[in-house]
Amino acid sequence: MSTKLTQTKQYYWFAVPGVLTFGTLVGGSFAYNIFLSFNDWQGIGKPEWVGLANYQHLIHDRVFWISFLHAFEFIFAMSLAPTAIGLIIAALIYDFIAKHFGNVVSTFLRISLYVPQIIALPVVGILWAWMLSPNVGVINTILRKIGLDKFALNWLGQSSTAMFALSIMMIWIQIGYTIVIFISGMSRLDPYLDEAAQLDGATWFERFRIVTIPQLYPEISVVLLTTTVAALKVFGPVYVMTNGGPGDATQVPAYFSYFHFFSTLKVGYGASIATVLAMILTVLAIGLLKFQRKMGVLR
Amino acid sequence: MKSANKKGVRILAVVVAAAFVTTSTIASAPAASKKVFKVWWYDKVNTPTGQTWAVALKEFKKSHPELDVKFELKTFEGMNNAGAQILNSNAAPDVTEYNKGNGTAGLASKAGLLTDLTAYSKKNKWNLPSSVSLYGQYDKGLMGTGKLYGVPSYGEYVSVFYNKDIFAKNNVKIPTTMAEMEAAMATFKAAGVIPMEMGGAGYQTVHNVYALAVSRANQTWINSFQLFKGKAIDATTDANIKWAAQTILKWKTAGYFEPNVSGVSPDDAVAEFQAGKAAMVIGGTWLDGSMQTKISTFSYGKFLLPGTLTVGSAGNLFVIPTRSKSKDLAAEFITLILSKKYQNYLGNAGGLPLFADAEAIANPASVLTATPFGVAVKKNALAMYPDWPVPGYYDILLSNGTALLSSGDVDAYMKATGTFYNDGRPKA
Repeated sequence: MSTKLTQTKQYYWFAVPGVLTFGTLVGGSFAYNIFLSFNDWQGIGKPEWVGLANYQHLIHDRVFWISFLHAFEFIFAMSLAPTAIGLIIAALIYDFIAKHFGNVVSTFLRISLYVPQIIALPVVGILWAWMLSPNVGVINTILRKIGLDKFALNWLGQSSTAMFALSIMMIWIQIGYTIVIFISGMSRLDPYLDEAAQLDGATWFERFRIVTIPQLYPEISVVLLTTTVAALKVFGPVYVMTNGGPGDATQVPAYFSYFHFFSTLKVGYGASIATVLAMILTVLAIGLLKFQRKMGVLR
Repeated sequence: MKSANKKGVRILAVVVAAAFVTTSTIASAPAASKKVFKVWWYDKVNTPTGQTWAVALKEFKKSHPELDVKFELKTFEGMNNAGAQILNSNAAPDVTEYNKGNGTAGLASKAGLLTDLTAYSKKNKWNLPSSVSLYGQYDKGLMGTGKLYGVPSYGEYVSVFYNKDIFAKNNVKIPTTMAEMEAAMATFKAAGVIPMEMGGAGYQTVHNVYALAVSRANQTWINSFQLFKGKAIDATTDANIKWAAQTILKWKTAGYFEPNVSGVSPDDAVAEFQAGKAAMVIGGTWLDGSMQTKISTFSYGKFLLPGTLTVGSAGNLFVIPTRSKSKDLAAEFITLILSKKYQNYLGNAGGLPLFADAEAIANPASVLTATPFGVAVKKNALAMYPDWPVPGYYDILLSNGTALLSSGDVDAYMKATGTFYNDGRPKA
């Protein structure tokens, strides 16, 4: 016992870099942010302690609640939809394209679908803003050419479609990530199970549903967790595409916090938004991890 | 094992420390002989101001061989958002361009981050008229009066660029009243030409609504709206702003803009005008250079939107941060920029100098842009910019302006932008 303890103690050294960087970069900043959220501060000068005033204001701020609603909508566009679509495309590439067209074609497809992940977000933003441009954009031009003028909408310029347009872009960005993880997951699966099901007369879709998906639970849960967290703290696409507008149509918590931090210079208020967001994310992440452990996917 | 570990850590620590010591001595060795002088601005290399200041800095460098002059090109957005924090740090420059307004220069002056330039102004005979110096004067963080914390060296304004060929072809003269303006647009519309380009998804929304509002306003209104002097404005019900919002919608409904105007970016709108597809576009002096180089198929001109006041002001400021270690030299650089030599240079580069000799400027593009500005300055009709009074107002005006153009809901626009303005106004 005592030798074991000594041995364990020795390993504490290995935690030092992690603890130090986490403490300074994450823990310290988080504590400072919480401190700021109890203050009225313009970014320079002396912070003035105001207690819970920022949080009281927050509860009555309509835009704050709208922004959270949008964050949950982004869970669909950045997590649920890409996971579902990614699963299907991954299965098609792995089972069908790789078998019938060879590895070169399937690798090419995997890489092409992953490209949106590596393009810098500002570039993606400019690209999509141009494609979605109502009068000269390529999307509306094509829609008009094939007679679908009705659907050539003012995508980012009106509240009713801005969120939808952003969501389509996010799905395009996210599926590359899910596909790559799912394909690597599929390559670890036991081929005999699939073969046995095939011999028993199962169709492709039955095998996909009953044999492949249950075995992919660990990958699916990791993807769902990371993308859900990414959706709730989404900032970049909103920043480069719409600045939260038109009106509040695409406002999200992270952008709303940034807006108060840097534009209105209500730093304390921005910090309180960030604090609430961080708390919700933490609770949600712990909940998801617990749930997955219960389901037995993480061992 | 344990002691070996500890020893290993100690050795590592010594090596790391030694590395730091050697690199820092090596790095500081050549710099020690020369005093570092840091200059920042954010006007890009191809702008008239950017060009002029670069030449002025070259002369400054030549006359001060003892200095290690370090120039950095910043961005407007960067200085707007994090400028105060930078000025408050050790990285602060000796002299820098900084955004005018209560949310930036005002706030920094209130926090004691900017040097009072009043004495330098007297000593170096800057002779700033009050209509120019007011942009650099702040009292308790509010622009307009008080000590001089910054110096503008150029002007900028928003006006109407028009396609002379389209005007001539349709027999339309430069409108001098709002009624003539609307009649002109109706004529173009009937002739199948887009009367007015506008990027409803970007800054043009913010500027155009304000341009309409101030076309009916007077200086008392500006003093109240921008400088918080006199009777406070209730921005949720203000008649000028409401009329402006209604008018821009009226124009949209009449088909004077491109379809889907709320989704068009200002860059696209300007490009369409430059391609000769529209009769007019409302734009700022920052478009002068691009108009000059990109329009080749027709000739263009500029006129002020009819009405009382014009969106515009003296340009951004040069300030000397309190943390500057070479304040006298910084003031010398500002003096150089304000000198006739570089003001004339700016004029010939297509910019809008504040103190140039009219006869020294030969560039026709400069004359084109300087003439309407001269008119506005002469009648004391500069109305500043819409986003100045309250920090963060710009984003609110933009997102709600886009929503106004798509939804047509004037009341929602007035409520959202007005509440933000009323809440953000300094408490008396």
